[in-house]
Amino acid sequence: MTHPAARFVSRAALALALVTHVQPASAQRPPPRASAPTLPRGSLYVLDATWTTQEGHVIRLAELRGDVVVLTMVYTSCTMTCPLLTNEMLAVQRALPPAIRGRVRFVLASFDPARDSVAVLHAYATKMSLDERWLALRASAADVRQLAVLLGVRYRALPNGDFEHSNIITVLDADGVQQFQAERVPVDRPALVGAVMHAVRSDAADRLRRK
Amino acid sequence: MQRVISLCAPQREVLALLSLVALCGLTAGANAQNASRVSQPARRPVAAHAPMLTVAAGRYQPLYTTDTPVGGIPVGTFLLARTAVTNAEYLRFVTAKPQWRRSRVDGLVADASYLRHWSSDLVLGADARADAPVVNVSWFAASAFAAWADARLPTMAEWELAANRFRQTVGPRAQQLNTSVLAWNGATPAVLPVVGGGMISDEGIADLHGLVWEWVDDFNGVVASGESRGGGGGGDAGLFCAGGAAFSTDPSNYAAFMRYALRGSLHGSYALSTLGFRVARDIAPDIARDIARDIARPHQE
Repeated sequence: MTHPAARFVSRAALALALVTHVQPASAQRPPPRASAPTLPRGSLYVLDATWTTQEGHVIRLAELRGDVVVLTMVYTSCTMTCPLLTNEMLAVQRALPPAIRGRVRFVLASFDPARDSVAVLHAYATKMSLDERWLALRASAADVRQLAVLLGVRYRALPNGDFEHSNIITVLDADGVQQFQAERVPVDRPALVGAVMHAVRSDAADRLRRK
Repeated sequence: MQRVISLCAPQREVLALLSLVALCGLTAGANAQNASRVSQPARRPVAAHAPMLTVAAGRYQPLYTTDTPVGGIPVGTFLLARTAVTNAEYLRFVTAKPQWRRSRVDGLVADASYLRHWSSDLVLGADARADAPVVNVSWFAASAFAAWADARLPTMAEWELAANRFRQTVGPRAQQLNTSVLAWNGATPAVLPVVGGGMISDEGIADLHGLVWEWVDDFNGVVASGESRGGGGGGDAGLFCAGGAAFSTDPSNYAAFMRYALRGSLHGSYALSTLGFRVARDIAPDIARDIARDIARPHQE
């Protein structure tokens, strides 16, 4: 079980961060837009939890702000539908026009921090040929539970170490607000691709309006 | 023997109905036999909360059947609040944490019913007795309260373990208990009664049955869809990965089945008028060892 102190920090941090606009910390991200507005209601980016990527970088989900995000929850040793979910997202990426592709990130959040170490995530990303638009993330068990509840993802650890879980792929707009979910596999791919394109175009329109 | 029960995709109205059916006027029945387990002192001074009582380690047999280890899921010793969090306690929380007040809370983490039984942000009003269990709180809100109180929510297994520690649930009294649950025949009180007046478990925990439903940390661990058919795989394979746990509908534990059905229908932002919570804490490892030794000794009865 996660150390109670860590759980308290993450829970308290959520409570404290509800209206906090979190600034990106990573040097690799472009600087925030000078006139970036506060997060709209419903944005998942109020979460203050930290996640570690397959490259070992520590980020908050809010650092994804500005890109449309396609997100699912899996675990790397899953042999059932998790590979299907990843492949569906790869297919979505390939189906996007090149101009749009640069505005979309693809995120895999692991149910299984105990076994999905940074090295394991890195190997998985290599095996699945995930390019630089992809993030494979791990966090504490408490933060995983919190993200899953926010997304409506149900999951349960099984005695053999596997996880029983929903097959949900979520599209977040550029402000982290949920726009669409595919709830099952096989995915309705036109609907999912359409939702991503719509979110990208909506964000482009918003930026024009803000100028 | 399995019975096939089919539930439609739950609407809020169905949730409310489910929650009402299982709440009845159960009078305090069992006497706590060994209710004098010493409360774990708080690690730091906090505003007065319910005493924390020890729930001894054990094995819990969940309702889903296909993957449970033989003998049940092991659950370690932990501390559970004697009573559910009250309106008064929750008022202290929102006083300290303004972002959790009704007028300010983000809809992402609490829906429009949040604290609707209170008069205003910081006034309980006539419909919310100070010592009644707080309801209309979301999972996020309950989790935030627990963190503020230097505690956590109990897991599903922990809660169910504690809730099954009633001597009267074996033998002839078991039928009486379940008949009472099924024989609900009146409206839930417009104003909930104060905590502590209901059934007391063998370990001194009050109101685990018959007052309000309670949030658990992993409520979204109920993965099967509402349509749980008995035998071979209880879920839609397209919706769930590894979804195969079939629900056994043990007629003598209808209340437990309803709790599972409710949990499987909840979202974290939901605030229901019959859903509250209580807090739990981890127990210090050396005390857990002492208790395990006590449990291993032969019983003197």
